[in-house]
Amino acid sequence: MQFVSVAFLIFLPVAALCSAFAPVRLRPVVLLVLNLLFCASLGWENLPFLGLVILITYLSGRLLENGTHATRPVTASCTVLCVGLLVLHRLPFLTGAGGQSHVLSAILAPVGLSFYTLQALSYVYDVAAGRQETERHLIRYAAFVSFFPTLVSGPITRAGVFLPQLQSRPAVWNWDQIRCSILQLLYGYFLKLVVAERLTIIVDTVYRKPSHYGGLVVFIASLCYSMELYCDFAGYSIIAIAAARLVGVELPDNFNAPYLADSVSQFWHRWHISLSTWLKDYVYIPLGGNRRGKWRKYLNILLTFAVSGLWHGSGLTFLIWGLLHGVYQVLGALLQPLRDRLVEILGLRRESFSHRLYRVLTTFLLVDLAWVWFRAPDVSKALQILRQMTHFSPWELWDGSLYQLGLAPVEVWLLLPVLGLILVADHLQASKGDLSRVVLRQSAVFRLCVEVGAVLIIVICGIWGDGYVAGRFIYAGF
Amino acid sequence: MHHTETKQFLRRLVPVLLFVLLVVLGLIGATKLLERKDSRVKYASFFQEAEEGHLDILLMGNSHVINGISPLRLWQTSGYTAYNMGGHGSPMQATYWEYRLARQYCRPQVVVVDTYMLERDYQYLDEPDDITDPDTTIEQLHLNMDAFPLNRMKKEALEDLIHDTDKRESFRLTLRVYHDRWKSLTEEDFRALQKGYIGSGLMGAEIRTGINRHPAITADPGSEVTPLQSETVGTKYLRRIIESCQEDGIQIILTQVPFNTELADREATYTAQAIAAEYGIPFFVFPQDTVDLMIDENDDGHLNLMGMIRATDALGAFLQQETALVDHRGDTAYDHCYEQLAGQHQLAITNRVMAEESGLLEKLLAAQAMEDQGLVLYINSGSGLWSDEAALRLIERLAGTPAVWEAAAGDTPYLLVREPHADGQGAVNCWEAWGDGSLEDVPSAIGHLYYYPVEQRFRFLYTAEDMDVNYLYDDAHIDEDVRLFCYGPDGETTPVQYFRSMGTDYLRVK
Repeated sequence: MQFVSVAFLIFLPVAALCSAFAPVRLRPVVLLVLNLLFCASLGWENLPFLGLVILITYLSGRLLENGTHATRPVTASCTVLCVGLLVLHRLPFLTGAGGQSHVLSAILAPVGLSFYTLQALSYVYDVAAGRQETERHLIRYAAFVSFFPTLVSGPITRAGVFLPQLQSRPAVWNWDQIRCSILQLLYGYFLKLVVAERLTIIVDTVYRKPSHYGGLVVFIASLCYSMELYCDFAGYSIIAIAAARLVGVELPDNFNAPYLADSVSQFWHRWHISLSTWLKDYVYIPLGGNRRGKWRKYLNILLTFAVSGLWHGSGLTFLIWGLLHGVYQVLGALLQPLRDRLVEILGLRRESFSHRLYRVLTTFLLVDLAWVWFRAPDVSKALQILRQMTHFSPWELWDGSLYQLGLAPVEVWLLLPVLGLILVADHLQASKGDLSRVVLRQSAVFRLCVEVGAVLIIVICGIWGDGYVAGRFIYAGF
Repeated sequence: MHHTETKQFLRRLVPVLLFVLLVVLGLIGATKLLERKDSRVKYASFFQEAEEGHLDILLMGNSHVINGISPLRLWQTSGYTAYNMGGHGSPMQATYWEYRLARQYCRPQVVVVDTYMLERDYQYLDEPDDITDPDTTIEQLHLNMDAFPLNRMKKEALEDLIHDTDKRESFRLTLRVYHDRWKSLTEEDFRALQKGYIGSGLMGAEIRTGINRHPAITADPGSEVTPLQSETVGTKYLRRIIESCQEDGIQIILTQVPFNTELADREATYTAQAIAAEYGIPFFVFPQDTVDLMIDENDDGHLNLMGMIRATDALGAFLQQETALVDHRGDTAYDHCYEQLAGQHQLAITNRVMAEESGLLEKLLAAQAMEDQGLVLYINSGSGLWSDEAALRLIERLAGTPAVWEAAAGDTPYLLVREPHADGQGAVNCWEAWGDGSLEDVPSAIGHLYYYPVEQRFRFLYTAEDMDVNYLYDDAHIDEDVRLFCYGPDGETTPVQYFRSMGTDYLRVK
């Protein structure tokens, strides 16, 4: 049962009703049953891994609670056991280049392992650090780790955010909450089915044979990949958050207009926020953060991003991608005085629109170039794509080359207003918060037009139906 | 519930209901707008005629039937009302279900079943043999199925024909496959939304007007032909069709529309004949000379316009002998459909001859079926057409004499005047001249024609009524070796169309 499936669209309201009408005491049980059903629908082989991670981390939490055991050995052994599963799954000699297991594919490719492992580990670390009370109720804890909206690709939720919400009746049957959730679901499906799936066609076409295209087309394909990844993963996260809301659990945002960030470090405050904060709290800060001097801080940044890269995949390209982001930030910090001086000499006003636009575009470009490493199957292909981008071919913009990338001309043109709409939506989200609430504040007629229009656009212009591989979200592969 | 709570509840309920209503209406509209119209167009007249109880005959089978038997021609020649239910790529099991679906709406007196593909031995259309592409087969099945409303019978058919549940789903909810058509919507799609579906006017048949330039005519295997070795899915469903018809008290006739058969096809035919004998039903074998595969096929397997007309005439004659069907011509109840459509059909054929975009052979082919217009065809000496066997056969049939072969052998100029019979009922008069021969005082609708071949680049063709107009002279087209024009019963002529032969291709020169 993928998010993009009729089965899920039937399962979700049923789950919402079960959760809403279950007595408070039984809510964890109901949620756990729903979670396990969802997990089993993705493959029965997923259940043992999920159970194992739940048990290891639950017992670790209990051991830490008693205080009879030293903290470090417990967290260390828990980490070794859980991360061991992850690492084993990603070892190069067991897996292919893309992280797909060859030898152990049958038993070591559990859905969402990377995500719920991090979620469960964060609980253990928080308990060890005294930031989180131990959860004694196994069912409640299991419901947290296996929570179905976040199971496959996050957002990685903290126990402190989730568990208290199980102890009270959900506020979800608040009318506004339901409407917000529906609007969010529609926006999530729009991003995934109308935009991301369409951009995938362009990206796949060009990345398959980059040498067949001029620099402009390859560059546009890289831009398309940036947007594809964003629409795919943000779409997924929005659906997950809306689904969670419908079963009475509020989750924090996972994206906040990342491509409007005006620096790489700000980008990481807005992109995959749950992973970024996880890495900050459990890798960067334990490494010393910025408390041990400038150079150590830079080293910590590089190490944290290297971990981030390796978490995404065992290939060298992922490591390079992660390190590149680390290098961007270190260089940014090192060049800060020089940049400040330049701004002063040129008399630039930092808050002016043009200067901000320049910073946003530069950041986007840097992030976009890094995504090339993220998307390319190997180093040589990534270098080939980057080299190909330098070929001067502006005529491709009007000689029809853009219509040869797998999309009909009308679809290429459709992408322009659609991407513009996403830009506006991101701007609204960054400036006014929850987008669905912005829509809800409008007149009833406007809301109705948006809601009905969204359903029809998704159904008509979305890429689904026969021949469509239901809902393989990019981040489900990590 | 308190009054205020009730009010609040209703205030919330109204937008929800409105949302649901608008979404449902939107989806219904989108389904109608986006669906492929082929099936609706094919069956639009079927539902109409079935409702009026007008259908005498159902023509069942595959694309050979679609392109091979014309209900309108059958009407013109025998006054029977038939509907062509053939489906592209339909194996026997699809034909069986097509029959069952159609039977929900009508009770024909006769069912004619084409037995092509009887040897196919696979159950599911999405899991066919190595030869057939499952995607194409499923796509073709949409043509048969989409127009029929989803009911228990259709669901049963889908379960029997398609193995993959997702593919089956695409027949239940057609938006699954057609939603992507938004980028190729045409004016017709919107018109259908406004005005409903309009039939193609051919009662389910399709007309092809090409000539198969390289027909793969296989040698007669003679005594090698034996029946199929074992029962196949095809034979199983043929038996089911026969038994269903017999249960319903409907006369069933098996046949095989002519095409270039290979050994497997002949074995299938042999088996079909044996099955027919087993059930005591007729198997109509088309007489050998029904079609000329050199000129009556559009492509391998599919008859063109003249092939269709000739095959239909042969079937019509057989039906007159074998059935007790009534000739409805003259019955005013049928005027608004068959009679009217037959007229429109004739007009479409005439248009095909005159159309700018149709090629020379297509014009020569369509002209054979043109009953309301006269035709003048001139071929100059030295023309490449003289070495084009298909073109010569077409002209021979058009003229009704083999004179054109003499012209070709002698590389001489050739003129044909084809005058429709005054009552427009099909009989024609033809006059030909070749070599040094001339024509004088030919009574045509444009006047009394005179033709004199003066020299290679100068020929006279004029009427006694207006001797100043030489139809065969035009400075700008002096090099074009083939020219033709049509004229109506009122003497109105179409502009002369010029062609230059290039091998066996003909370049239209304007």
